[in-house]
Amino acid sequence: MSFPVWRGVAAALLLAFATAASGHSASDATTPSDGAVLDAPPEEIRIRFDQPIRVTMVRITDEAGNEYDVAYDRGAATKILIGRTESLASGAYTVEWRGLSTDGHTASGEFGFRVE
Amino acid sequence: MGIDGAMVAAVAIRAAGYLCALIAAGTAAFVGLAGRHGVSTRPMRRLAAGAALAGIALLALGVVRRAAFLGGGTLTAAMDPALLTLVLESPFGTAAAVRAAGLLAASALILERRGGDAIAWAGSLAIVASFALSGHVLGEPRWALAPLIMVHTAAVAWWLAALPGLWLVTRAAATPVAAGIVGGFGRRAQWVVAALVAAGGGMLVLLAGNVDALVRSSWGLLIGAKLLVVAGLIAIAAYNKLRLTPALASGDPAARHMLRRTIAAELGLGILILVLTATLTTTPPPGN
Repeated sequence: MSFPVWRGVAAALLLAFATAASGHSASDATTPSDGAVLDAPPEEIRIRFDQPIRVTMVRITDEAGNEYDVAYDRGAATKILIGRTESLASGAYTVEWRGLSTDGHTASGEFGFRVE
Repeated sequence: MGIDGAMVAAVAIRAAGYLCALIAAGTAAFVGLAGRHGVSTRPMRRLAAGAALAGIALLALGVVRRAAFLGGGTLTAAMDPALLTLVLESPFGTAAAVRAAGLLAASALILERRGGDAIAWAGSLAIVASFALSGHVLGEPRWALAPLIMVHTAAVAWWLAALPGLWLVTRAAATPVAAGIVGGFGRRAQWVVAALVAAGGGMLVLLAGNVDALVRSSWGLLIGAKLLVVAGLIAIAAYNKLRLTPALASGDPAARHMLRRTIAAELGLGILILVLTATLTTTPPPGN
């Protein structure tokens, strides 16, 4: 390989930052919010995304690892996912989601809440 | 950023896919250079064809892995027709289809015929174009991002794919021939790298809106690691150009031996950079 060092260093910088600046879908708000403590179990969960995404999995689990059903429009492109949950007893829950961004990237996230 | 088996698999598949695609896309150019100096190009052609076929297999594996991820990481999800369809109908699926067609065409290098080489060049173009069909370059202004990523990818492919051939040439070719090919590569490299820098600069300007947030995250560490490796690669490349290439031309046998080692080191660092890049593009960004 033969080229001036300064050009190579510049190329490296540009390569790295161009790669880093990729745009995937990200959730920017949820209901319940992450870490929320609720007096009553939520009837639904909402996840808002910064760009449309096709959500392919939503999973609610309790501290023991038990899973609870969530009804949602699987695979439909949306900026706000609404999932209806079965009745949740008192305890801590984790919501995990996965989906496909409009640019082809996979995306995922999770948040948690507690029902008193 | 958690590290688990699924993520390691995703990074490995993507990095290997990058390597195969870039080798397949870039070899036609090096074969043209080496062929003009009268050396046998058969080993490079075989390598490109093998990389092309492996690249197709990795694309298929990538589709299945994505379906598995989207369904929660299970084997059942990997075979779910709805999820597989979703992946294939996404921009990733379009890019994968174009890249697979390009890889198939690039494998025509194995024919060692003028017509086969023409098909392979068309395949190279398709492979390069496929990188503009998914990912962050789908953002706006796409009219600028698409050609920039294509120029960028073409330059990287040209560089990376030449390294195995250069290693073979410095091992087996007569000294004047080896010096001619290495020197010719170096002269072209200056223009190719200039294009690479220009394209990278363009993408930086258009896409770097959230660099501040990223450099504070685990992504920033990955970028720093990548920069360190690239700096090492550039240092070796400069040594090759300034010291070893002139020494090879003057008939110094030690230079030939050292050049083989430094080219191998360049290739190793290049693969490491692809792994780091695959990690960057596979990891969900901060905020997810």
